[in-house]
Amino acid sequence: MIDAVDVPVIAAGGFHDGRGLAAALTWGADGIAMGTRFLLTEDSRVPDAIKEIYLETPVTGTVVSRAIDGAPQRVIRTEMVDDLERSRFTRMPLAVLNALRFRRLTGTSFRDLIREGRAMRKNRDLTWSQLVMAANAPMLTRASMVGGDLGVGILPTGQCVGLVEDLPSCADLVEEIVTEAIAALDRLSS
Amino acid sequence: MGWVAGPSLVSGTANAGGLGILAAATMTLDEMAEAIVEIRRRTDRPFGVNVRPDSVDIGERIEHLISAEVKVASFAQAPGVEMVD
Repeated sequence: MIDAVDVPVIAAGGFHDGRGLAAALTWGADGIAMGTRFLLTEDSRVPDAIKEIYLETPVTGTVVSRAIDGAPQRVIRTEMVDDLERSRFTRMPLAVLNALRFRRLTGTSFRDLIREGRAMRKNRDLTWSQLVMAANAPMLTRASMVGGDLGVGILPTGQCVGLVEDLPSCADLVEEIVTEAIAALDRLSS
Repeated sequence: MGWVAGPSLVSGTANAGGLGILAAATMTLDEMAEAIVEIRRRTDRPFGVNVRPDSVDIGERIEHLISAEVKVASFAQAPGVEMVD
């Protein structure tokens, strides 16, 4: 990618520390983007009990599933995810109800919902029931990540969740990452 | 980032020297506008906003980002050339 384009390239996927930043810079990237690592900070408003689940999840505790909204998504492996994997298309009534709730939440009209639905089906080759499940997914994720409902169990995550073990402030985290990256690069050039 | 990257995390990241990206794909247009105001209450530094090119009101969202002088737009799928212009 870096060889193919002229624009700055930000590396993403699994980064969580200074060594990763140093490695990405060595590859030729201009920086890194991080999701999971920043989810697990003081400044993140994810409920504490949910953050705890992330912190306790080991490296083997995640799974990539298409059952949530039709597209592959990495999540913490929970009963809900196992359930969705097993019984994908039998949750129609609940899915329809949540599709309607999501419509209200995002202010989408019925006509627009159908229009978006047709576009999504065309782009991702989904059946209508998969599509309704896809509309369902944001409500489930919201119930976990905002509502803090421990029973829902849709917890999007990166692979590095098993390696993250603390909840620093963003300020401390950035400083730590930069310091570690500089130390790693110094070590290589000395 | 949906439901997670709200004003607190975005401004915390910005104040720490990073580029925080607001997860606006899980917000209505009004919520997105409010969140941008809230971020500006908490930080002077640049930040970005995520948009989905397939959302029905993408035109209005982009217009809003331009008029609010948001420095960075992040696209969830590849945007068309017209959107970038």
